[in-house]
Amino acid sequence: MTERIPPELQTQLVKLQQLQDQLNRLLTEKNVIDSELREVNKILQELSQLPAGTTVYKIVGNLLVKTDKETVQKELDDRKEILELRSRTYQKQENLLRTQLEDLQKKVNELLAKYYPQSGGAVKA
Amino acid sequence: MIFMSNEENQQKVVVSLEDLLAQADALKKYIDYLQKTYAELQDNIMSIDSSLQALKELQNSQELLMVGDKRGNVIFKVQGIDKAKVLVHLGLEYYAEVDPDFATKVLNDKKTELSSVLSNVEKELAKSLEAYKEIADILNQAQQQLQAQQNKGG
Repeated sequence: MTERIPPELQTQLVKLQQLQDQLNRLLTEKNVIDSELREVNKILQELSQLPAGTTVYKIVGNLLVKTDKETVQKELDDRKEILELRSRTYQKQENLLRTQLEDLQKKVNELLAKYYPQSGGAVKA
Repeated sequence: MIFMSNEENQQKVVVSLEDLLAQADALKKYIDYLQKTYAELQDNIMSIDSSLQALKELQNSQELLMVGDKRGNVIFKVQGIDKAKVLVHLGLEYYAEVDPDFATKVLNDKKTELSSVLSNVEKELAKSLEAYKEIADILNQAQQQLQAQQNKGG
């Protein structure tokens, strides 16, 4: 028969799992932002090598809308600013979550040592 | 349970079969994902190669044929093309009207970047397949041990 996990430990393990899931979701979202940011930087780099007044087309739905290099540069600079801000916000949240995870891991390991002293097991996320 | 002993310092590691099977399953999913990514990257690189080839051909052609759809139900003859300018995809939703040389440069940059990613995916895939093989070997070993024990007992 399997031994029941003490409720105190069970609660902390559930919290640990929730934090881990939260971090995974956050990292997925952050990756999307960072990927778009890399793409924006790449386009800005390509645009910088084009002469002024170069015609640029932007896809809007199924249409290619005619615009110019300067308009697109301005558009992308704004987009870059927003993306960088969001990326920094995600970074702060990630740091906070990692700290919380570490603290909770310590707590869980202490409880494991308390309830299962013979195994000396430790949890790692 | 599987007991693996390290001969040098006689350390024993106990791993449950369930854990190993779960690990193998997770690895299998990861390998599938990597293989899908690898195929997509290869497809992208091939598309870029086609465009580079088309840019080269454009300069030498007097007359071009344009396919009306994927199955080629109708083909148009196209003449009087402006060979001095093409639209090249810069990324996201942007295309720039540039000369073929600049378009070639943009496409080559893209290809280099994708090839580098492809190389990394290839390495990761090889590593994952190796790890999967190791787990499969351990599971086979365990099965053989189990059968041997059953044969003895039977």
